[in-house]
Amino acid sequence: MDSSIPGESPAARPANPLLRVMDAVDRAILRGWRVFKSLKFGIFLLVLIGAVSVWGTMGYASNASLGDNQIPMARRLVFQTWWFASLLATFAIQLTVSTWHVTVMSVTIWWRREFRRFAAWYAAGGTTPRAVLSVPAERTDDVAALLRRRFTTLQRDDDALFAQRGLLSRLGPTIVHAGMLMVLGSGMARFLLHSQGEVMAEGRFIVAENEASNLIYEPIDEAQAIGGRNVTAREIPEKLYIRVLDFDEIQHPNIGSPAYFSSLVEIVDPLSGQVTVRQLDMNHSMSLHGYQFHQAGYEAVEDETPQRWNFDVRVQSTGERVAVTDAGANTPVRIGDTDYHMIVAAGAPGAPFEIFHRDNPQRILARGTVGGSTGAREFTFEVVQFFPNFQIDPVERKPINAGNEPLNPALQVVTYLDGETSTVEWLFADRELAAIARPQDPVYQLKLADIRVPADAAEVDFQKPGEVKFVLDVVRRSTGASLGQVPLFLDERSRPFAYDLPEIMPQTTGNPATGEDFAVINLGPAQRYLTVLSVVREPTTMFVNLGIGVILIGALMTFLSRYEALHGWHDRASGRFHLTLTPRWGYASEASAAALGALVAEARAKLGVDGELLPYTVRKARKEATESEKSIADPQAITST
Amino acid sequence: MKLTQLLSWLLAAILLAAPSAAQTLSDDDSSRFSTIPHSAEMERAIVSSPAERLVVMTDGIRETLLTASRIRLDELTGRTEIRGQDPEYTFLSMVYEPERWWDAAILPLEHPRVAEILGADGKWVSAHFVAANPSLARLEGSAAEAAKHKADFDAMTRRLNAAEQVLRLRDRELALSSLATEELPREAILELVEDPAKRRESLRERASLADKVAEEKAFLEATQRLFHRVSMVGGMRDHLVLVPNREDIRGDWFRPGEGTPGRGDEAVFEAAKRLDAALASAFRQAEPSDVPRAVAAFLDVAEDHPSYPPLERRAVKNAYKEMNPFRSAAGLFMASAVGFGFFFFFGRSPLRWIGTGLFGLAFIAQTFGVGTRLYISGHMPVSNMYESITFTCWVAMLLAGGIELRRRDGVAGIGAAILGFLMLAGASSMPLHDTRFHPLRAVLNSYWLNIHVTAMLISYAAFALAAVFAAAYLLKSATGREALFGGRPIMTLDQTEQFTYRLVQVGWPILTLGITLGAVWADVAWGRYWGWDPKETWAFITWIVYTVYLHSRMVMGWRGRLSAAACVLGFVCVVITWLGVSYHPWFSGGLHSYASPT
Repeated sequence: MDSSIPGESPAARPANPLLRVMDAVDRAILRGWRVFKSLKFGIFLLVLIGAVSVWGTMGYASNASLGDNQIPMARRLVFQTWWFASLLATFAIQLTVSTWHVTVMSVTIWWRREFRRFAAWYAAGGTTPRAVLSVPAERTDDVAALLRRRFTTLQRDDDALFAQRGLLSRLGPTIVHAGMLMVLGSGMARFLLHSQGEVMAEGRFIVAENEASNLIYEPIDEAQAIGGRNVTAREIPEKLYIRVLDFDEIQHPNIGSPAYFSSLVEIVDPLSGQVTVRQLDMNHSMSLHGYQFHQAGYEAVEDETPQRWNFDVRVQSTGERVAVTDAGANTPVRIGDTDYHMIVAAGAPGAPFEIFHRDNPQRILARGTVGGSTGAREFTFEVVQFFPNFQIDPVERKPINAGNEPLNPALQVVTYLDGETSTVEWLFADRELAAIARPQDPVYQLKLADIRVPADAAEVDFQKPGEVKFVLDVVRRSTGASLGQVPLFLDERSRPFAYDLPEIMPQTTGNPATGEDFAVINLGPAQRYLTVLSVVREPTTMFVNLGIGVILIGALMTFLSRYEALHGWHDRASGRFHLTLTPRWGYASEASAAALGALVAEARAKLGVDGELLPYTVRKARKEATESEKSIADPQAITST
Repeated sequence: MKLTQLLSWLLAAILLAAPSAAQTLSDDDSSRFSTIPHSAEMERAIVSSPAERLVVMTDGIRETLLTASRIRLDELTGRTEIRGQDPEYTFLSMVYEPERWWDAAILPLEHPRVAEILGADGKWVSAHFVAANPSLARLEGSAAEAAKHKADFDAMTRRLNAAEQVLRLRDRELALSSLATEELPREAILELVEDPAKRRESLRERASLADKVAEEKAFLEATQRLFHRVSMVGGMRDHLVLVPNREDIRGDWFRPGEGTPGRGDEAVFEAAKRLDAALASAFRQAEPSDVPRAVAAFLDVAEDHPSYPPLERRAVKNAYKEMNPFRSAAGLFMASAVGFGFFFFFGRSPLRWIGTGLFGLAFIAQTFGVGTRLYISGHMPVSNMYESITFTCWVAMLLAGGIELRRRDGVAGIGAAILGFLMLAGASSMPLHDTRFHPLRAVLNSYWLNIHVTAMLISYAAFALAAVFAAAYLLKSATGREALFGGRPIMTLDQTEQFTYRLVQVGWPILTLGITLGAVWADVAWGRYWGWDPKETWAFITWIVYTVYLHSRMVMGWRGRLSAAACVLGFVCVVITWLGVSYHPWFSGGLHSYASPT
């Protein structure tokens, strides 16, 4: 096999061994350059990559024993191996070299000085539209002026002309290739960064509504390949943590499958105190210090006691519904699709709520109390402490019993609602103190009605269970009417006491004039969800985006603009001026023939000369044209066909 | 090739499509139709009432009563009509007088073993026949046994699968701890890992079990479907979900007399109760005179309800269902191909005009179908396989129509007409394709669906046409004749090649754009551009084939049979990417499994 470079003689090699080695290196580089710039090599690499990809999918896909792990295994054993990365890298090098080569060709053609030879080439190939004008050599200036109006660039060499237009189109493929290189290069960089642990592909952030976390879970490398469960955890940088305020799911009616789901989260920076609220759904992600959080899934949480409730938010003045939303205590939630957020202190009717605009959480637009039906609920009460002489310790600022004399009797009462602790409060015998004490329950108010001591007792021990009977009066707060009295002893629970409490009307202090008069009604307990966010860290994303942008720009340049080159020369033998129009890919089209026809017509009209289109071969392989080129020694010898 | 051969091809294609057209349970199906209840008077009353305006919530979609009835009858009997009865009447009859349908032989026996166990002598049985059958316990036992075999097989597969993975990975301890579960204990995996003989024995055992499981799968599914159908006969009322719900968290609709009305829904709940009572009374007393008035009274209230679809939408939907535009288009494409075929044989221009006219009619029907689905669903009709095939076919026909109008020689027309017929007949008759409207999956609820999927399908359309021209090129160059079908000469080889090239020139940039935008969507939705998912990989392989074709053709002037073969190969890759990856079990588990409905 002859290894010499065409056009060079082996005899020209130097005699000095060192120089010969350097010469050999030079030749090897040149040969490598030639191999890599060739399209055939690029095609070979593409076919190879394609074949490996077929094997990667079908080879593993057909292995039924791999079950659901076919894709991870194929990834691990084919697509994420060093040798596949090397194959892609080789293709990237080929793309670089060929792109450089094509770019140099594209750019140099603008300043092509040898256009006489190329004119002959196209003319001899006969694959492009050709025409002749009866113009003498002295009127070449007139032809040049004609061409200048129709083409972007024009070069002249004596009586030969070379004009071009649509240069952006010529550069477009080069730019597309450059964009592809950026994408491929990013892929290579990702492969290297992944081996350094800088890439996170399968992270998970899993937190229930109302709760917060700063941990991202990630499968251990090998376990990840088989879809395993072994995980490691890492913290979100900068000590940030994320609280899930609300998970929202909309289902398709009657079939229960999700139509949409999203998470409202707040990112808390404990160092600066800054809180940012973001909404994530399957097509809207969130970026945080290089980590990208995506809504991936959810699960229902089985709570023993309700921690979230559904609230019906309406415009109070019109009764029109704004939205139904679920919320937990003290966690802000978005009201439907509006820009308003709401925060409720608790789920029970009567609990206070506040509504603010998303952009300014500090400015409360409306506040009030939640309405809703309380239904018939079972209350029990228990006196846990009794201070005959209630006082506040001035130092500790805590309640203390100053003596056994009943000078200022007060008792601490725990209220249980359906068996669960509901409120803890102090009740006073003193009317003034009782008046300023803040009732704990939004619906009823407890009052100390009586303290009954045994009539026959010489000295009463107020702290002895069963000794003193307390009578509590349960009063409806809205009307002041007594609902009934409850007798009980210290440290004993009262008998169950059921109050059929009617619907509580919501109260609000918003501004009806600005449409901020909201009424909030409790609809009952809501399902609490655990949201699953997938977390990835892809440091090369920006370059991929850039590469895709470059590809699109290159594609637009290629397809929105049409390149055409026109060669013209004066044939001394026939005394006529020859024109040949060459489109982008060197093959004629009806459009380019029409364009040349229009040029000839204009020359006839404006220069007052005869002209005609010459016959040409519609399609002819480039190879044949190249052979024709070799056979032409002197372009001036070409005569009209 | 002779005309007779061409005609026999066309006839074969018609016969292939014919079974799917038989959607009516006719007298030929069974000799037991005397048991099927029918009241002509009641049917007339329902047909004459505005019942076609009623809307029923059906599998998450607000369907008209006609469509809902057809869906349920299809689920029950495998047919959309029973003995030519109006489907709405049949459905309502099943809802309000289920006892009359108890003895009707309308349930198909889909597996010979089921028929054998039950002792049935025909293809159809009644719910009563199944429920009161003395061999019912035996059938249940056989089904339970088949289910157990399948469970054993699945367990064995999981165990072997786990063992294989442990063997493949470096860190076996990690793999073991990662794969072991309560159902698949660590010891069970380890046993297979450490003992190759045991592993081979398990593989053999699984292979022998595989045949049995495959054989029993059809029996098990047929039995389960039969039991479901028996329960449907008595429970059709569950599907009469026609009371709209204004707004609550889930937006569920209700059956008449069920649920609690929200604010403002009281009137429609009451109207539904009255309609329910009127229909029940009419069916019970065979007194249909009140039915039209009751339906109209309900509609008066319901049509003011904000959740009720607008009247024009219901009308369009009914028209779509009645016309079945894609099936009509398939027939018209077939007829158009015959017209063009005759033109090539006899060489008379009027025949070409007939072919072109029929092609135009088919395209209009197709456009109506695509437009209707776009109007009804509110997004590009590309959300499942049926929609994607019909949309791609429409784009291909648009391109072919343009070529035909420009050339006017019938070549693009006949190629496209045959392609259109094959695509639409395939889309309508393949059992995997569901022609119904379905709710959109959550992840597809994005504008990216309209951009990425549409771009991919437009490129597929261009490639499909290119493959037709490439195949014609190969056929012509193989026979060495200018005239393909024995008639007048058509396109030269050079022209055929040129069309192939031009179509790939159209398709390739759009495919590139589609893949690129898909990668951007993947980044938005899944956090990565590229994951070597089977769909992604095969799209990449397809892109490689067309990239090689285009570059070699453009830069090196590479043409001829090999080039045409590359183009056909490219379309094979398109088919694998499009259909193979979605349906073939080899490629299950990918993230792009949207072909099947919700």
